[in-house]
Amino acid sequence: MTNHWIDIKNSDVILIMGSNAAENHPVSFRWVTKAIENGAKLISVDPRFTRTSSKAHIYAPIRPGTDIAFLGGMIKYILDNKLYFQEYVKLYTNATFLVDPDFKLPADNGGVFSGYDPIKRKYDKSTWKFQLDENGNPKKDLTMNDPNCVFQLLKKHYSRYTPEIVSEITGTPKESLLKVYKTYASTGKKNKSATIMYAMGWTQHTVGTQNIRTMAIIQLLLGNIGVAGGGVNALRGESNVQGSTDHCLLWHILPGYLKTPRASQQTFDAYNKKYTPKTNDPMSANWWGNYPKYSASFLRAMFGLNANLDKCYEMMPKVDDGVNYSWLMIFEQMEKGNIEGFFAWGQNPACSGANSNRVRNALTKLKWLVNVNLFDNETGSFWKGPGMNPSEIDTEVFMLPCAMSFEKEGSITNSGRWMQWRYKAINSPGKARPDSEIINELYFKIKKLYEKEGGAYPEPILNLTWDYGQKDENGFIRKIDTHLIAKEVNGYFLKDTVVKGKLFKKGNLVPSFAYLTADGSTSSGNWLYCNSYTEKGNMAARRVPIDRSGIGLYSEWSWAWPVNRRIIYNRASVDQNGQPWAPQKPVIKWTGSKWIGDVPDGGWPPLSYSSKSRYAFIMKPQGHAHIFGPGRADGPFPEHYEPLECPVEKNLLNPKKLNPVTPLLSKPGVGKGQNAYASCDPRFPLICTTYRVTEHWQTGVLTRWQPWLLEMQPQLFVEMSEELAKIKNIKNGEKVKVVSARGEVEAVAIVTKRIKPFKIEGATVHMIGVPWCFGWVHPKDGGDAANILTPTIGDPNTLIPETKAFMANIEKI
Amino acid sequence: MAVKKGVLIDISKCIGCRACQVACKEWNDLPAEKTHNFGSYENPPHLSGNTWNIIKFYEATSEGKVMWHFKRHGCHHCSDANCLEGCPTGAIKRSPSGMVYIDQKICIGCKNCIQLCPFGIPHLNEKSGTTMKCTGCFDRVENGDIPACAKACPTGALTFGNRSQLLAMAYERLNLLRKQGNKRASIYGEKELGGLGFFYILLEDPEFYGLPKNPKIVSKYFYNILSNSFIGLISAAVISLGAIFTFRDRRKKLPKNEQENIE
Repeated sequence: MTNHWIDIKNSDVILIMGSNAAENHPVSFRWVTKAIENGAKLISVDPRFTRTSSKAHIYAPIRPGTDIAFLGGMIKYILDNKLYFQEYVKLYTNATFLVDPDFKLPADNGGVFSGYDPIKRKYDKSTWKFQLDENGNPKKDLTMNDPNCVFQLLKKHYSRYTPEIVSEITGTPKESLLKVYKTYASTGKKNKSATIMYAMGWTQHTVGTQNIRTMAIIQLLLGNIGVAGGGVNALRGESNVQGSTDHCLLWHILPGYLKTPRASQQTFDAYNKKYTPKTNDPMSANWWGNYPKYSASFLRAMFGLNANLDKCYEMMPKVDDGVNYSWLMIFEQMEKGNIEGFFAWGQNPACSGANSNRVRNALTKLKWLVNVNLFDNETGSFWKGPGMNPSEIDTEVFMLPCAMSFEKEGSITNSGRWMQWRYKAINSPGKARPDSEIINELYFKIKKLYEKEGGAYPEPILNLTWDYGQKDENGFIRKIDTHLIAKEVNGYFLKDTVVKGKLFKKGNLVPSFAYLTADGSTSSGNWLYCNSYTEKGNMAARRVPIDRSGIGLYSEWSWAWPVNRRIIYNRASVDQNGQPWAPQKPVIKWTGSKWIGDVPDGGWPPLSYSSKSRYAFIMKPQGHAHIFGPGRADGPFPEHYEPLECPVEKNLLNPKKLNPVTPLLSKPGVGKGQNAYASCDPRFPLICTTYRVTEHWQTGVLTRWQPWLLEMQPQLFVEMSEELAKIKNIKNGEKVKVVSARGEVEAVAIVTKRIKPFKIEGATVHMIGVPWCFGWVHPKDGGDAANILTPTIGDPNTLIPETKAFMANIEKI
Repeated sequence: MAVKKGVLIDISKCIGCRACQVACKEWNDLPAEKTHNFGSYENPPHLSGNTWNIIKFYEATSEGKVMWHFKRHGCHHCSDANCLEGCPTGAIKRSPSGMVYIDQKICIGCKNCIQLCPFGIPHLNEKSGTTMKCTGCFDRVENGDIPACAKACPTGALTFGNRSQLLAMAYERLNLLRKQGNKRASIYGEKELGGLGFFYILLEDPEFYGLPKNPKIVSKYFYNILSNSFIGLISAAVISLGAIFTFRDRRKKLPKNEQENIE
């Protein structure tokens, strides 16, 4: 979230699209309800009429996988009707920048942006750049009339997204589209703001990243970023998934969104050079220019003073150039027998992984599998699952029971970036232990083996710092102190150091990332969290229930990254003189000598101070928010492409049907657990989507064992319209089979008025939906994983699987 | 007796998350039921001796638009509580703040209350052989806490408080909802059965939610049966005889200070 949960109450219009907040983030509805009480309008755009839709002023149905068409139409509507916030757009976005004249839009270039290589399915981005002036800074046209300026290109690109075409593609009635557009665009005024609450309904597509980019463009056009009640807000799928992402759950990043080193980056210097952006504009803060300070401090957190920085960097694992190591790829390699062992730690890939039968087959190729979880699950018991022959499977499976969050002390970081300290409430049952203690024991065992036997490259393990508790006479830590981990994440001064004229003693905690250094005299496990645990104490443990801001920042309740800033990009919430666009809900305000309110995005004075000031979007090298975003794999502007499996022969907006840079991981055909797909295939005429329910969490590993939750949602179901049920002669409550090109599951039919057939390009298309929280292990009559149905394909930027839009069929049993 | 405290159930704010349904089971230590999906999000399908609070889901079409409403289904803690009046053993009691609860030590499982409740709330618990229903969390309320369901509600659809204040709140909310175009919005339970402790802001007519338009209090119930039919006359005579005795009996037995029973 750019903003935070409570801030939703400040919105004038709330769009819930690509998420189902009432069902999957019910507590957020405290703030949605407050906003509505204050007069806000709630819009729900969803393939199904959900519990969220039930509370919305406007509901618009949408065919799964067509969000860019829907939102692209909104961009056109905003531009055609001049509803954008002109002053904001000119001051804070790159709309005024001039783009290379050789850059071409898909409409003028056979459906792809300039630079497309159809063999590699990749773009050469050399034309996706700005025209530069004599100082090397982007040329601008403040009138925004130049045909090569971003604003005009945007206008041209989305001029094709007429309400008529959008309606044909999305199946959303034209009048509903226009109602949504009109209501949402009404917030392009200074004192109004709108927020978007999205989740996996947007990300899990072959155009997932661009779905969110489209919304970011809308928010920038309306001046809704940085302001109270605005932002682009991802409702994260787990209570601490924000924290785990910040601390590098994903393969391509290190903590604090530093980059994972590639094999070709042989020296620390080369690595830093590659990832430290430069600017020639003195008014651009170019915050990532500080990269070497954060990377050096990270290396010091890993290896302390055990080696010099170059050696520390050498000891970091590196990934091969051009190779992707994401989720889908793990199982591809596993299937090929290239992975010997696997820790499924707090995960249940046998149910959560797209094309689950394929994942389950891949697990049979492992030599060993360690399942760390609270309960047995479909992953740990895969060898005795449906269709498996245990006598043919050699995988040795270990179950390590671990503690629930209430059984240990530590922090969680919520979607709003709040790091909140939590205390242990009860002891774990049996032999279950906190994850940190399991890792601690593993570490000491592995270290001992390296010490004893040597091995390929023992140095990284032998040189790790591991100061997480009191060491016994053998150097072993029996009890992990999570405060010491939190302190290491924040960082220390490793020697007496003077930074910015201040003397810090060796062993002092670093007060904030502004004091981190590139010379190796500071450590910080995650620069974004530097300031969370200082000499003043554990900031995440603060619990002052007072809001001094008047807009619900509650700045002394827990701590938010970065540096306790509650609304990021907040320098865009004010005009050139530092006065809030919306005086009734100010985020920050310039008094003439200082900022008051939230922690500003840097303390420089407002833009009217010219050279003393800095542009608002400090994380971008040019200081301006990206309407033209050349960083993505699939284009600087989002374009509508169809899902891998779809009901239409043609993409009405583009000669290319599928995202042209999506890696083709599947082949046409049918086969259980195969990487097969069947698009526009009469055997699979129904659009299918997957989702969660309030009553279960993720694959249900925790909640299916909870009798009170299970009694509310005991079995896999498939929702369908009354019209489809009539055609298929299916009665409500009847058991049916849901079939895709990859597998089948049994489910109870819920025949409902809340799903209606879509009118797509003149034809009637039906949709069904299945929740993905069930699995065969428990309960016995609960049904199996919906992901048995989903295809192996993903977004080209992230490779997140496309599980929200594919094709299927239903059969009577 | 007029109810002092209660819960305002605002249908317009309920998202059907059922946190209240789980909180009820958790606080009262009620076992889960073995259920199956019967073609609905709703479950368990009915109240029972082990399920005292469920959310009913109402799916309908109005003026071409789909709607989906959610309503808490559980005891209303009526001011004129038929169950309490008709309980032969005095097991059904009222706490000082007005919560109607069944004293499990006294209840004999005669099912009179099941017959008399116009909302179908009390149910026999097969295991204990006694009748059970929502207690209004009197054990929490009389100790300064709020009912578990209201505590768990994330949106403010369930608000606990002094009934008179809740009523004022309800009217304010009703005005707003009407202004926003909810023509059929109403308050249910202000006067019904002397005033319900747990009362509603509804968006549709009471019948839409299965709520009786004019729930009858016990005495009128008997008179109606008497005047309606001969069969009614006989059965009513039998029941009312029993009732007269038990009422007399009950009056004698009623403890002066009910507080003693509340721990």
